[in-house]
Amino acid sequence: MSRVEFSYRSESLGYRTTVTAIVPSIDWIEMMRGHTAEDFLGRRYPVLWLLHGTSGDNDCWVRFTRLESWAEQYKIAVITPDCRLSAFSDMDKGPAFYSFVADELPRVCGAVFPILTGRETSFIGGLSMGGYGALKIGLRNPERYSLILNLSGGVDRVAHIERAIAEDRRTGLHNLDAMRTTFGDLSAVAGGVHDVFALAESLAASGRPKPKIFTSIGTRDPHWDENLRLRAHLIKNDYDLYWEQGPYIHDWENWNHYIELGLRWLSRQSTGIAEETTW
Amino acid sequence: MASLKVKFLATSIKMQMHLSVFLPESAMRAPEGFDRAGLKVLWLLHGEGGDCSDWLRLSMVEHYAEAANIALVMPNMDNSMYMDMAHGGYPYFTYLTEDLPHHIRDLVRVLSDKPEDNFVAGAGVGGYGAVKWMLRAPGMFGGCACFSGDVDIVAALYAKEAVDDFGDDWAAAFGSAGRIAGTADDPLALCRERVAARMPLPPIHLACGTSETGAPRRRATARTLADLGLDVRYHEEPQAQGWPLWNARVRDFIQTAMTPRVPAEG
Repeated sequence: MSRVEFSYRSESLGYRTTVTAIVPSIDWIEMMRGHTAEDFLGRRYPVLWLLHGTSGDNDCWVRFTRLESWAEQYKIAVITPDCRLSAFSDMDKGPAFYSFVADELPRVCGAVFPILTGRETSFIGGLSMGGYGALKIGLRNPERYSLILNLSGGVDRVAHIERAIAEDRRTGLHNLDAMRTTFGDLSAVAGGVHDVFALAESLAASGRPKPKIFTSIGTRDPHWDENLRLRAHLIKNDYDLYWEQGPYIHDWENWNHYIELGLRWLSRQSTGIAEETTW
Repeated sequence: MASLKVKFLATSIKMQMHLSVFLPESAMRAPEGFDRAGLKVLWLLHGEGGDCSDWLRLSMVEHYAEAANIALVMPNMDNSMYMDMAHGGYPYFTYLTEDLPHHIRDLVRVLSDKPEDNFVAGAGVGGYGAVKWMLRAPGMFGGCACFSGDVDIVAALYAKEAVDDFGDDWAAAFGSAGRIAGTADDPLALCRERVAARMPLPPIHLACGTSETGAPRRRATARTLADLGLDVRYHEEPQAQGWPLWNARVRDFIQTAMTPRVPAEG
């Protein structure tokens, strides 16, 4: 396995950004069992684009979970960008984070790293704000991603905005000015490209292929209600769903637990992963 | 242009090994399938006491590499002195010459593996490593450079022994001067073998500062190699030593050896 931390000047962002990539190869257990590095040369791997939550960066997934071990075990490359507090949007006033994740990174990483960027082997996931981002990007690009991981996603942006308006929230995270900087006119968010519920409905109506969606959520997680609402909405729109819940709050215990289940689910769903590793 | 910090499990040495990679801007715009048609590569080696960040921090090589559209691969070799070590059996040189190129070309898919596109250079004992690597891997490189390092490592080791300067790290790597003489870890002996076998050798660039302690020995080595009939480009610099010298030499190596200019018409 290679752990790569790379930085380059992104066109979409207009500044130098740092990205973390985990690329499988031989791991320690395989080496001790007598495999050689040559057994793994020339392979390409399915790829999970994995997004951080509010206050996160490219590094937190590998710092706070055992992601790297599981990526190796399930032989899936994982790439984690740093998208600041953007909610993975092309910001109304600011950098184009949505385009960075959806268009630029797959092109750059697809040329440089041994990853399989076709639909059946491309997945997008994230936690909290990143769960929302994964749904937004996945549902807007269903020809590019076959599977979505939503871990405790802040999925109902419209409800979040309504709450901030009701509170007249002027300071702190997700204050009204910050939300306008991200989304522009807040009254236009419902039904638009930032509204996961609307995106799910219009994709279903379009007849284009629908990604399968994995959701995990803690029963004591503040995003519990909105994820239940999204589940009902997705069922109504005939999505293929997988649901995990457990006694968790909105923390790394939760995501460390569910990212393993998520990767296992990806490896079982994906037809691109030919080989089953026995452990 | 991209800077990559890579860590991976190397099976030869059975350790997590670290390296830095630099890719020029063109790699970021490479179309899918660009692959092996890819970039010229300079394998760039640090000296005693250094690590894989030295060249990036202490020289302007990133700037020169971008201007010349070449990639850099800078492995972390600890204080191995580019040896499969005499004590402990740690096979650093095997890692460098076998694991590393395979792994990194597999991971970073825009690096050319053609010999005319690959060059190796190093400072201090990294220069010894660079020359030794080119001699031990015929057909892999189009040229090498050794800045303030000893191609005649045996003479350098004897000199260290004579003044009782054979520290633990040198002993761990080499054992003793007598143990190295005439072996595959003696680049001068390898050069003589190659010449005797009439095997062609790409150019060897040597540089040293006049004020370096080893300057007389390095000047003599350059003459010996030239007398053998090898293509040796020796540069001696009276004004500078250390990183200012190596910075100037790596710029020259990239600009003249790796990317020779086609003379303009007329």
